[in-house]
Amino acid sequence: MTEGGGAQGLGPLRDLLLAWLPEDDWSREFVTELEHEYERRAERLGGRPGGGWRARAWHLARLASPRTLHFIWLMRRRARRAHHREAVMRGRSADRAGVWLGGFLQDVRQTLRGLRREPRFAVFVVLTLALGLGANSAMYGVADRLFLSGPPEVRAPEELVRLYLRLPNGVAGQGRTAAWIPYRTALAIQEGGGGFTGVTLYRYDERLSRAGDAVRTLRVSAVDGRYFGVLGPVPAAGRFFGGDPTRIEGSPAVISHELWLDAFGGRPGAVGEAIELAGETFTVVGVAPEGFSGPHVERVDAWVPLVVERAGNRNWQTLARLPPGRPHDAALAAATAEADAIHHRTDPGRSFQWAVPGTIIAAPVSADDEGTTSAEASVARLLLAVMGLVLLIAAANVVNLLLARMTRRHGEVVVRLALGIGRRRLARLLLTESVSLALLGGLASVPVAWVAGRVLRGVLLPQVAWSASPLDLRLLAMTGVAAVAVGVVVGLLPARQAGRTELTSGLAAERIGGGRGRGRSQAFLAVAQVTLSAALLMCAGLFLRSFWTMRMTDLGVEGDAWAVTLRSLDDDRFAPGSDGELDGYQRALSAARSLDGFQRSSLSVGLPFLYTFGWGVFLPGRDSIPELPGGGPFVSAVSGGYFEALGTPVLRGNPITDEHVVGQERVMVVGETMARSLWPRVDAMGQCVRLGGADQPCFTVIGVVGDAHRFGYREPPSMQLYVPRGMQGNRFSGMTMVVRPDGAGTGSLDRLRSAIRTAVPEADMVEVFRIRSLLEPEIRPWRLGAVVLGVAAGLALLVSVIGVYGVVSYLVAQRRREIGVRIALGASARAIRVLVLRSGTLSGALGVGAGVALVLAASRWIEPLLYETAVSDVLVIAGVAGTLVGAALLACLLPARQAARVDPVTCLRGQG
Amino acid sequence: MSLGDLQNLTLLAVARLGPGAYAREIRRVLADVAGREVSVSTVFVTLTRLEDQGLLTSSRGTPPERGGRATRIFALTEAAWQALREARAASELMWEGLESG
Repeated sequence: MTEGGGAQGLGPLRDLLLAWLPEDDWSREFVTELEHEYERRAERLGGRPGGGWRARAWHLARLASPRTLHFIWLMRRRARRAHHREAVMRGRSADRAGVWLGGFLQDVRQTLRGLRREPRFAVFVVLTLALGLGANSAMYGVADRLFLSGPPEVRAPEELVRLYLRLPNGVAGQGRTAAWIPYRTALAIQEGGGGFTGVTLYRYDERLSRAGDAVRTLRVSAVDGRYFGVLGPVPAAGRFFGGDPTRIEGSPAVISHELWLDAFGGRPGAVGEAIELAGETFTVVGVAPEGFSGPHVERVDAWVPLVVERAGNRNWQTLARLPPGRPHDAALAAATAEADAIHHRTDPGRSFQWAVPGTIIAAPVSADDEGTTSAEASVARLLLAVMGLVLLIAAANVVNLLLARMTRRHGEVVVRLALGIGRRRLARLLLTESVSLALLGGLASVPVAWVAGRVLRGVLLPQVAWSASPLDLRLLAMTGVAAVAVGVVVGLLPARQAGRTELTSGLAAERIGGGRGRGRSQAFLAVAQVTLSAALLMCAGLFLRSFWTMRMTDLGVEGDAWAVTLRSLDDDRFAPGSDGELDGYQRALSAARSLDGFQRSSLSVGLPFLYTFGWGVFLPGRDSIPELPGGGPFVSAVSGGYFEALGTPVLRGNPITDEHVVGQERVMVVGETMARSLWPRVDAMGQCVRLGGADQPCFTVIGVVGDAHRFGYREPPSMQLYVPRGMQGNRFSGMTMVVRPDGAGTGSLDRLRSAIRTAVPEADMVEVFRIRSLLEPEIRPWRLGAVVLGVAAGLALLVSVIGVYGVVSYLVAQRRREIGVRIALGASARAIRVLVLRSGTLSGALGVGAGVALVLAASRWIEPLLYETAVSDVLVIAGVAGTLVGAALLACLLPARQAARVDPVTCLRGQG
Repeated sequence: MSLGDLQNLTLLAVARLGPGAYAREIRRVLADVAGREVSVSTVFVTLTRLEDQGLLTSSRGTPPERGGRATRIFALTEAAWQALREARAASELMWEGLESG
């Protein structure tokens, strides 16, 4: 419709209308009438101010009216029916699907032929998509295990809740949520029933076990008789124990599928055999199904019944099943009432050990011990979003490649149109191409996902019990669906562009790059890629900085400080506080000290991150001592050389020596924070401190040492004190040996281990571990985040550099003539290079700005995942900006050189 | 077949216009004679539906005005006449005894 001169400015909408209407004279008449109407309206309003705009607005409203759409629909229905009639006349109506399929197969064949012609393009697109899709599948597999679907082999996991005890007065008056519930309270909740269909109690500990010649540590879960009933797994062999929650006959044990394969060779006869755990003999009654690890993700090797006589003074984790439809709050209120009642019935003098008043609250099974989303799950959630971004960047890059290819194939498209291919058919051909490419990418993503999945599992989340393969049918199906979706999305823009190709001008032009529009969408896509890469790089930088800050935290414990523990199959041999324990450790200490390079060795009762004990502190002439947010005072009873072995600096006075231990002297070393808060104005040295009661004898402060963390990286300062070993009496027990070898490798640790085994032959196992390794679980989420984000950001950087390169070379090709003219008019090669570099740097800078803004806008969600790092960290932002702008410059170098080499003569001749 | 109000009026307009019954004229007659201002889309929808119902036939023709472009000329079918008569009869039956003058 060119005659509707007055309808200028309505072009796009009118075109859309025309595109929808079938091509017949009645439809054309309709459009003519609409335009006629509009012209009359415009004439009438012409004289008035703003009349043109009012006429246009009126017309727009008419165009978009329901009546107009109704007409379009009627006409399309008519056309469809006519088409159908025609097909029936030709006797082919039955195989419309066949025709479609034939066309589709033809498209696929054509696609494959086209890709074979351009193998480099095909390989590049397939690889890009394979990386994007593979990374997503792998991460999805991890997230699925961590928090998306419940624990494997558990019946209806969405009905399970973890119960917590919310204590009104925790440390420093703040409420505290504990996953560990005193036995009597847990039992009362179980017996009361409330609204739950089942409540079970369980806990974990590590027990030594002899299997063949080797002694290994097994992670054993002690569970009550309801456990397997509540969780509902089906045994792989044998049976489970249970029924009565408190009384279980004999000593049955259920072993994990892995242990069954590993220690029993997967023999069916293993059921009925004996297994020794920490000196006790159990009978294997059943094998758990493969992948079953109880309600949590960590590996469990065996399940044994809890012993009621020993259960009483311990705390238990509690799990309840709440079928859908039952009110959550009512069940929890009933449980709270039970807990309250048992507290009041219990002897107040002993109540602390037996029952605690508090509110019972619930959280999903995947929650951590504080009832909040675990750090791993939060980080995995972020990483899932990040992988989505990676896929987006990959898709944007593929769109760019497809657009560039369209430019190359412009001639082909024009010829096809001239030969009478329908625009719809052309679009379908292009979509078939992009979907085929995406499906190939999906296929290639399978090995990527497998390898990435293995790395994520084995290296970054080793504590989790994974099912056998990182890939399953569901994940493969999802990858397929994602691939098709990506194929359709990336094909839309090129298909639209092809549909717009003008036949006449296309045939006339010797070489047309597709116009400014295509260059614009490419430039936009490039900036979008840089934006997303900048966002990813920034997240990676923030995580790296968190990880670094955490690693660099002054814990008061050196990284090369090691702990040694003696263990035996017979639980009593090194029982805490026993003579056997003291004797064994003393022999081990002498053996270590007699070795070259192990002089810095000591014994300690109470060790950072392992055992922490509290002891009441009383000062003469004072009613109370200040409470610190970190709690305490925490106490360790140590031998000589302890501070040296751990690497805790002695700030003033003297450390505790072996002479103090031998003489059992009442001396004490205090931490810096304790010294400062108890004696802010006077010297701590020589002060008298009474432990355990105001009537107890004085300990004299002889030294002040640096603070050492007691529980982990993230903890507020606490009061700490040290007394000579033995002075704690029987208040607390449990010995560890600490060593700090002089610049030694792990080889010398083997030397230490064998020396101790010779000196203490009754130890079945000598465990040697880095003290800081106890903090691994705490630092793991940040390492996971830093590594995965780093890799993702690296990939994104690479892809977006290629994207920028593609766009800039395309622009250079477009502006070839202009550049030729500039050179002919005397522009220097340098000026031309600057011209090109400027365009690339601009998209780099734009992208960085947008990406950083994106992350800052999302800081509400990102900041809680970081450790003492602000989202607006200047160092990180500067690093990201520098890296990306540098990368963008690098991507422009080659096109800039090509531009500077343009030969003006060839170029200008080409124009004539 | 019972007719809607606008369908009834449109068929009557076609009948009045005879060989000159094309969309623009039909719309003008609806406005001038019946006093019904309707939009272009409404007229086209009504005509299309009447044709689909078999009440109108159409052919390509040239309007009587000079320089006019070829348009679609509509004519009533026998079924349309039948429907119009039924509508009129029903209407008159309903009016019986109501006229005050």
